[in-house]
Amino acid sequence: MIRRLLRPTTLLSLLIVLIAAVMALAPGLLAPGDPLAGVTGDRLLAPGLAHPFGTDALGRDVYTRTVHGAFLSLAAATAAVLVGGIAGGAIGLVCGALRGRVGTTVDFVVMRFVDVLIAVPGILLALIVVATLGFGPWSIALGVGLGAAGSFARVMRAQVLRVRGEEYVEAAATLGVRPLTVLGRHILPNAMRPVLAMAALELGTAILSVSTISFLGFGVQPPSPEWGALVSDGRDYIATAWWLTVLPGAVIVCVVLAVTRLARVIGVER
Amino acid sequence: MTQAGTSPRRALVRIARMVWPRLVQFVFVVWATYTVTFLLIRVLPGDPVLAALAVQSGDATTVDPEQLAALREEAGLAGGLVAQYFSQLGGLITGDLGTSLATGRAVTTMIADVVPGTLAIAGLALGIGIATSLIIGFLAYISPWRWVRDLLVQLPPLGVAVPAFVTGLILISVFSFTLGWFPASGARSSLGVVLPAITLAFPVGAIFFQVFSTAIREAEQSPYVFTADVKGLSRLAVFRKHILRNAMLPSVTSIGLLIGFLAGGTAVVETVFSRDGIGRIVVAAVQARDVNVIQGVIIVVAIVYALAALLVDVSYPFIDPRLRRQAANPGAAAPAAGAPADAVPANPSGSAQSTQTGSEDAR
Amino acid sequence: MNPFLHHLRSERITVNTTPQRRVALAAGSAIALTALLAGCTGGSGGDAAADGTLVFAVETDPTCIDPQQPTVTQALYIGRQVVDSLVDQDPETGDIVPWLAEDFSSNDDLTSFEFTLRDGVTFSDDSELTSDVVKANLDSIVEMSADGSTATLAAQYLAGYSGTEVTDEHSFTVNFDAPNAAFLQGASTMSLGIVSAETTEQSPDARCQDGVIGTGPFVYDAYSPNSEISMDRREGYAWGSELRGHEGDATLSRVEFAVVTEDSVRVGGLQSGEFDMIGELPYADEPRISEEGYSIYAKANPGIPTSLIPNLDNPVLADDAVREALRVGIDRDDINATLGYAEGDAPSSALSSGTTGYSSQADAMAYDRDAAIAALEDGGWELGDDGIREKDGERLTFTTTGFYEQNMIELIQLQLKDLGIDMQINFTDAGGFFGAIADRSYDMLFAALTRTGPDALGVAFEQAAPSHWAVLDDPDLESLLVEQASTSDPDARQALIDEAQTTIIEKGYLFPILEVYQLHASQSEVTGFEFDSASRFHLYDVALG
Repeated sequence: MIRRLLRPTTLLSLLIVLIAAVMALAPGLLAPGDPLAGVTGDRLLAPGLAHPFGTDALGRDVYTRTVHGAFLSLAAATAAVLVGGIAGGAIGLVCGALRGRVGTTVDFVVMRFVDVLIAVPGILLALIVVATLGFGPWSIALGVGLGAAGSFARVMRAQVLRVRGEEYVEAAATLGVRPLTVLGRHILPNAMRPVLAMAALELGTAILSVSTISFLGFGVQPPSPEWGALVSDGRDYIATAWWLTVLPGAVIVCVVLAVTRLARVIGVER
Repeated sequence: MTQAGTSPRRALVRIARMVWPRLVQFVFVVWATYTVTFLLIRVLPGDPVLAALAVQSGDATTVDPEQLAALREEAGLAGGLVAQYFSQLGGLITGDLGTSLATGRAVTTMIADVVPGTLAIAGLALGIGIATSLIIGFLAYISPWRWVRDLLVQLPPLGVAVPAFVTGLILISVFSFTLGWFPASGARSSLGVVLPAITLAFPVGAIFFQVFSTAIREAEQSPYVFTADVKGLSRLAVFRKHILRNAMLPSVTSIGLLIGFLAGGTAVVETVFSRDGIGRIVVAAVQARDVNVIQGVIIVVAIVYALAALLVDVSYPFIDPRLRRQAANPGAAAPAAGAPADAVPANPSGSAQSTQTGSEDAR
Repeated sequence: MNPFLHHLRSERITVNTTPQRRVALAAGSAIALTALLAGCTGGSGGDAAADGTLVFAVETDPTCIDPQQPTVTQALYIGRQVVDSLVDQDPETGDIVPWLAEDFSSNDDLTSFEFTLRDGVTFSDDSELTSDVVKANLDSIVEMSADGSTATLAAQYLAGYSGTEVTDEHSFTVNFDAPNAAFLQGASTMSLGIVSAETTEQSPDARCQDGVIGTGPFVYDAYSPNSEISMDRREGYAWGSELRGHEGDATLSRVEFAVVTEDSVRVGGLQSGEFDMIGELPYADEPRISEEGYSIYAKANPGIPTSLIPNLDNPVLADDAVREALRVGIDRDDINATLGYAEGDAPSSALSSGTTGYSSQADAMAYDRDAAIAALEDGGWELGDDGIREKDGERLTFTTTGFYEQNMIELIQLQLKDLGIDMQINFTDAGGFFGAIADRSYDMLFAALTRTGPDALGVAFEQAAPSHWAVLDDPDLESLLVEQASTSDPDARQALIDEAQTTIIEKGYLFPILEVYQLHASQSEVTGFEFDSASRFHLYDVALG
């Protein structure tokens, strides 16, 4: 495990994730300025010493905005994975545990509705949820989470079914251990591992989904500097001020890659 | 396909027995999609009538409460929920998806008009993505140097990490504005599909590659490849004859998932490239609270997805002989390595549910 | 990997260059082929010039190509090319001149207008232009707009319409219940553009999607929503107004409007030669494009400039001190320099400088930060700990609802924060915006109102009007607005309009922020582009170099 961790790419990913966490939780440490304040005289400056990421159309420092936007993007993405994981996991658990016990109809019907969540493209589902609940990072989180819940449900259910067939579970049941205890002590912990690995990977995807929805204009209220919104703001200036789109975009890519890589490393180890 | 001595009638019965549950599943999923979207959309706040009026009337939009109430009634939005549900379901069965509030056109016509454009991009993206994955997979396989193989394998994940809107804007910047090779927008020139397709090909190829490379690795370890190698077959021949065919099985299942992904991905690509398509009309419809269009598009996408999944499911026995007997006797044991990852509608028999490679990267 | 195989594989290295070479060859030819194809289409701008086809990229899909029904700018200027109007208006002087009607007059109290049509005018379906056709047009507009679902702008120009009397084939009289000062001006716009009798009998939706038959210099060919609108030259066109640059058929043989919503893509398309002309050039790109040698066309929209419009039911905004601070505390020049058209001026009245009837209120609107702060302090608003002012425990905060120009709202927010005012932003879509107007649930609106004349003030402020935006209670202003709409004497009317503008600005019923400019650009070889009096344009004289 330690050897894996010490590989250069993994170390780099760990570093990036740590920086992202600091950006999200204590942005003032990395960017002491005000992300909303701008000096209009300094608009659209290229990246330089004073402004590492340049300035935008209102003279606001893009670096500061990117750092302060981390919380919105990452928190929404994390919330999305939690929503999807818990909701989907619960559905999968119930279906997998009950299947056969109370017949297969409940399992069949519920999993068909889960199929709906998977058949409808995540972005479209999230758009509708956001339009319903009003724009904002938490409705985005809910929308993206619902989209991911389907996959979580399937994986959890499959794992539960697999573990149910294992010998130690049969043994426990034969010994007379109560079903709920079997569920909690044997099935759940063993079924959860692949689901957790999946959750870690979903985080990367969730970050992308959240920024995409912001990019399409269904995101945060201006002037919040969520990453997708930053790229969207910059797209009108792509010919004159490339740094408005490329730099926040690069940050998104780096964080997603780092998160995904770490998730893979940790996932494999388990 | 039929074994010697089996009558065609028995083969037909076998196929029917296999297809029937999948068909029921398909219908059920479509109905469930309709119901879920119906409920979800009816909860949409905001006034669809006003939103629709504003689209056309701009700053001369009437705000007179009486007129608005009358228009609301006319649009059929004043009726009971249950009545609307069943009347729309009836319409759905006959192929009538209602009328768009914002444009006054039939939703079916609107969708039919834009589908070719979306299909062009999606099809090309699928083609480019899969072809590139195959090539990279092959190159990685035959490469004698470990570092080349490692490098090649690292490339596709980038495709998923870079958001489509960033890729698209950069491609436009380089290939349209700077080099002038391709148009940056619209469908006026047939070359207009190239950049949007390439933009989507990155994530499509990446997702496909995940499944494909895992399958290659698994096939590599297998005894028949060992035998082929020992027999003296060239790497190319081994790849072509043994690895490719066995790796294609799980990869084909991911196509169903890719279709779902493409349906969502076109929303961004069509926005960036100003092309008309399914994604674009949904985004516009959500903004305009055009409930009929939203519902219509989602149902169409769900149908396409479920149909693709159905076809893939049904085609397994044709591709993999080991599954034929199993399909005929659903109680039989699941086949060994090479069984499809669970990327496609849940197989009630629960066979081969390992999903590490399949669904996690699939969204 | 099986170590046993490693030995075998290393012997095959030299043999295995073939598949790699094959891949390289395939890739190379793919690139060559693409380059070849690109070469064919890369010069599309040049090819189009020889055919006389103008490719014009617009920002928004018109959604309806019948010029009588929509208010969307793109729909209006696209529709302008296929219909003619009864009269035309000189954009410089404001004078009304003949067009389809060679003669026209009105009675003293502006309730009755007589017209005589010119001879020989035909529609593109070869039917003749007669008084009956005009009557059918006006009647159908009133009918379509009765429920408020469409043709609302045209209906506003026909306010009080009681009917059209047909005297003979080429003479008719349009009658109104109440004086209509805006009618002649409205009759020069495309909203009252004349369509064929057959078109008037079609359903509004069909007219929107399939197009209309008009007498104009161009004829609709096809409309593919969100994608393209195309029109061909009308052969035999011979009835342009005297304001046009030539006579006879239009110079262009075909016009193709391409819908390109991404700003950067549209501008880039101009630079790459893909488009001959583009509409809605972003203000920020104008200096650069102008420097590169492209032609720029700019005209201020008539009507009310982009402004903040308060709802005086809101207690914070009902406070006169707050409104006074807003009146002088917004640095319009800075906003204009940062986000506006570089060559344009900051607004200086409730009406934009391009509107007939505009009179400057620059003194009342001069930026004075100190005066703004003084007004707030005198009014009892003191700075709180968070930098926002408070009075009697209430924070100086309100929410502005807008649905476009997000950057501008953010900039205003920054400026007001500096004064101690907390302006929240509710950025929504058109439906949400008008919904807020319909149920009067907004604090402050952010939008512009484009109209050909000073009746824009009535539309926005007259509490009796069905679609008014502002919420206030000022009987004096109300009577001013009602009176100006029915005054026929131009000088008397102007005096009333002057007073209305002064009142609106001084009492803080409107805070103008930016004048809206129609800003278009073209390749330098394009000539003959002309704005009309409503800041839309004619392509009749346009030639491709």
